[in-house]
Amino acid sequence: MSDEVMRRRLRSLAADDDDEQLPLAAQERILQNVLRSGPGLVRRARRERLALRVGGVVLAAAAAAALWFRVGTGSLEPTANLGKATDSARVHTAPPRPAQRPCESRSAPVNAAFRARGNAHALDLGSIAYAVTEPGSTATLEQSTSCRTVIALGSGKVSVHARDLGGGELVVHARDADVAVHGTVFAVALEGEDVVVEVAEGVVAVNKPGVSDRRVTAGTRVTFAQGLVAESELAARDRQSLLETTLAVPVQAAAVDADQTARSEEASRARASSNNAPERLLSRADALRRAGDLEGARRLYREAGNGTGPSAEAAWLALARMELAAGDAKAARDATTERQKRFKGGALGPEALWISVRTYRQAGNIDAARKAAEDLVRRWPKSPQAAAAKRWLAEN
Amino acid sequence: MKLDARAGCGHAFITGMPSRDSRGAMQQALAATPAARDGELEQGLSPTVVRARAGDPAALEQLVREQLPRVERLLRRLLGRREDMEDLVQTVFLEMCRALPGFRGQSSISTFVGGIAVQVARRAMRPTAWWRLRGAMPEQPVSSSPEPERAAGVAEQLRRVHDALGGITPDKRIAFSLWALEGMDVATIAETMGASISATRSRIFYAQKELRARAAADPYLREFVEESDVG
Repeated sequence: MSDEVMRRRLRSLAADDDDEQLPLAAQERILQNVLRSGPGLVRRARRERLALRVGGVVLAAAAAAALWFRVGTGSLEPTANLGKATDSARVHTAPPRPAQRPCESRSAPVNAAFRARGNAHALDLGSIAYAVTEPGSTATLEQSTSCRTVIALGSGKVSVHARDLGGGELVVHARDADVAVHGTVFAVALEGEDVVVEVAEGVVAVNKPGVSDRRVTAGTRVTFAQGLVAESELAARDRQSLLETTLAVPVQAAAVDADQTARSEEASRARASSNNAPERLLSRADALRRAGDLEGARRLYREAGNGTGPSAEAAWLALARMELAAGDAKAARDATTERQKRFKGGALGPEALWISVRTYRQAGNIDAARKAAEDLVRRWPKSPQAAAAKRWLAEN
Repeated sequence: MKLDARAGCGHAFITGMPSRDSRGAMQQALAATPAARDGELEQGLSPTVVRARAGDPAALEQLVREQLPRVERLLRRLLGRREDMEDLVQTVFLEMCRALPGFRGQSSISTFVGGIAVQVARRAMRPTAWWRLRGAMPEQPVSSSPEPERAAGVAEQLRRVHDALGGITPDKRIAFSLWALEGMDVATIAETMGASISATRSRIFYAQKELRARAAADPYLREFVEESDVG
């Protein structure tokens, strides 16, 4: 087996364990403990470093003085060296330029606005952000500069993907609440008198009368009612749906200047290419499958399978396994046949044949299953699948 | 296993290795004067990191929130599931606070924090680590996976992988775990572990060899390491 195959299998095993995370309460405890001791630790470390540095300079000066007294005259003549040092220092004493914020080097899209897209309205700020409203909602872009984007939500719900704020700020005004971005994907909804914030990725901070800088972390849904804040876990399906809403839509630049268009298109191409890589599609499909969205997973597995490379091949087998688990032997067989057509002689031959054996068994075609199992044992006798096939042949 | 001439030291070539050209560029960058390099590097730091280095609680909070999932995942990859994971993650961030004033932007903040996580994991691998002397910790909550049986199977296989890796020396085990389980390339692992690229490559190679030998006897792990004449 090549190193890469072993690595891929172990990596896939480890990725399957990614669902396990520290509970939110534990994460919050860590954060509170770090915030309690962290700033003090940082300041103490700075003082220690400064003391070391000063000590080093004093020692170096003492060593230089000792050397000078020892040598006496010559090239170490003190006034000449002092003059050089002063000249050299003068070069570096120009007044420091004010630091430029990273966002100031960017340009905001010109004439950006929410535009109709199907039943909904979408706001495309190129590489900065993308927002989409639910049908029937009203939202406007209040401010769009390189460092600040403000969206005002009048009614309904807006889902936002802050792609790359470059150090800038993105805020959604919802009635009297300000939801400021510290992360990437979130949604704000007005439900009657309440403001509902759902965060799929990253963190947002909510400010409203009576609520000061309330952080809402990923995987959380918080309802802000009159004098009441209710927090609950964001259901996996809702989180996935939020991610899909904001990530799956292609970027289209609004009316922008030529430079902005070029930059936006380039970023769009790079994003599309990275989003459509079989590895990424495969992992998104796995996530959808885990969340129970079989239709979405099916679509993404097929999309991944249309690509090239080991992940594309693995996508067909993942699809076959999913169909098998869902009890659709015919769809599973179609997926393995598709994999055979596209990746004849691929690296996952034994796995594919073993899935075929299971497919035939599930369909009740024991003769075909036996034939496929014998084929597997003959072609890949050392594979783990062959061992399983041998056991099954012995029992049947 | 195929040997590649590029390996140059008698073992298999491992993917993710930087080219000689890029190594030359790295060496040139390292040859710059330290003061000039520090100045240039510090200018590239993000505002959050700059504020965190000064002990700003809001910046530290943002940094911890951003890095926490990755640190936890790294520790899980290196050590497997442990009851004291919360303590380990917290230790990483407290160590990060102590080390932040010395961070000049030589690497990304993720690599910097990853390096600290590796040090904490290395200490936790020692048989005399203080947390092994502690009393029993509370049980982890039940898995939230929609497929509990499959999740249990995955957990069991991973436990066995970590058991098999447990007999390998920490440096080799860490390099291999970062390469195989976390999917890092060799150059990043070398940077994270503070080792040379050739040493890292060698550690991965020998860890892989030892893991194969150990896993061959384990029916749960055989599928990951057994030869397969496919293609």
